Parts: sequence; structure tokens; C-alpha cells
Amino acid sequence: MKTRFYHLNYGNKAFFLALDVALAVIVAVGLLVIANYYVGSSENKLAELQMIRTGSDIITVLDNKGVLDSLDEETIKDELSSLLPPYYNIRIQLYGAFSSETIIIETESELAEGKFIGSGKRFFRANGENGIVKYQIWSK
Amino acid sequence: MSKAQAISTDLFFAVAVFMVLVGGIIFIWDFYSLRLSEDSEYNEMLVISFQATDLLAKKMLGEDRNLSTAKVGSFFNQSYDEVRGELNIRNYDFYISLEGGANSSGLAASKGKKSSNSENVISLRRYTTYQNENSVLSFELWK
Repeated sequence: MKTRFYHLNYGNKAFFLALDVALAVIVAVGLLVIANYYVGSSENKLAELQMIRTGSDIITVLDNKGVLDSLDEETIKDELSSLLPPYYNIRIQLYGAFSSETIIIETESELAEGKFIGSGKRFFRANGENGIVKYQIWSK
Repeated sequence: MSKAQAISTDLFFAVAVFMVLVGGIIFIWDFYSLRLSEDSEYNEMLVISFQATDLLAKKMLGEDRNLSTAKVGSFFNQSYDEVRGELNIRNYDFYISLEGGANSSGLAASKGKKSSNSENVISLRRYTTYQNENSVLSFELWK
């Protein structure tokens, strides 16, 4: 680094300036890549929000129609299959004072890995007792 | 190489790098301005759509937690601009449809104009009950 190119007055200052510029460019490009990731990530927002809303709507309909109160797996599953859009899977867990065991109804036994899973809870009443229904919904 | 040659070569090189950098910055600035503006509009449409579908479901809900036939009829009988004002969807266009119900498994009611292109469209679906049958309330907001 002590060699002076062309015997200019600037010495090796130019080398450090160039290094500084290169470093600044790398930092700027890094920031742009991060910004690009965050700006681009908003594209899935609608699908994810829609999925959560669908799960919430389905549980609301099941509750409003009195299907959850039956606590019968087959009844709930039948109603669920008529409501659930074909491109989603859902898992519903019902628990509360009405039963010592959690009732699980699912369209697919394994939760999706590496995919967005929307979830939520709703309180309901069955057999005169309070209960909680928890849902998890994901795309096929 | 003489000193003058070295200085002018250095100058040309510096000017070339500078031009490329300025060009790159202008391109990136333009690209991100456009993208952020599109993103902002998309987010606004998303918020309006979710608020409008919530409002729609609440407006037409009857006492038995079904969509009320009378309220559905009166809502869909309004003019396009009345619905637009009621849902506060500003200068965007919309299409609302209700599928299901006791009399038909298909389209029960609809209002608005469908989008002719697939860009800048937000489509949402709400699952509900109408005339004691499962039904789907679809909402499309577009520009």
C-alpha cells in the first residue's frame, strides 16, 4: 500500500476513498434489498387476512346455527365440509366445562409446515356451560 | 504515462462512474416511488374492503343472526351511488353479490360493476347464513 502510483500528489488517499465508496455502495444496496423485501411482503397480506376472516366466519356460522352446541363430531364435520372453501384445511378444537376432553375436528390431520396458519378463538355455550372453540386454518 | 494523461483518464473514469451511479439512483428512486405509491393504494383498498364487508354484513343482519330478507332486498334496491356513499368507498368501483339462500343455490342478489381487468382488484368473501341456508357474500373493489 505504500507504493505511490503515477507519483501523484494524492498518494494513496484515492485507494481509501474508493474503498469508502465501495463500502457505502454495499451498505446502500443492502438497505435497498431489505426495503424491497418489506415492500414486496405486503402482497400476501390479503390472502392471509382473508383466510383468518374465513375461519372466523365459518365458526360464527357454526355457532349461530347451533351446530357447535351439538358437540357431535359428525354433525360439525358435515356442516364444516359444506361451508369450507375447497382450497383450505381447517382444524377445530372445542373445549370447556361441558367435557373433560377436547373435541378435535379436522380436515387434515397434519398442520402445514412452512405455510401461514390463521387462527382464532370464539366463546360459545353448550349444555348450559361455557366453552371455547379454537380454529386453525391454512391453504392446501 | 504522463501526469496529464493520468489525471484525464482518472477524470473520465470518475465521470463515467458518477453518471452510472446517478442513473442508478434516479432509476431506483423512480422504481421505489412507484412501488410505494402502489403499495399505499393497495393498502387503502384493503382497509376499505374489510371495512365495507364488515359494514355490509352488519347492515343486512337480522335479529335471528341470519341475513334479513327485507334488509337484503332494500340494500340491493339502492342505486350504485347510494351504495357507494353508504359504504364510504370513495372513488373506487365495486361489485357485491350474495349467493345461496332458500330459493336458489346460485346468485340471490347483486349490485355494481365487475372489474374488466385483473389489476388493482381486491376480492373478499364473507360466509354467512341467508334464509337459514349457508350463503356467501362477495365483495370486489377495483379501480
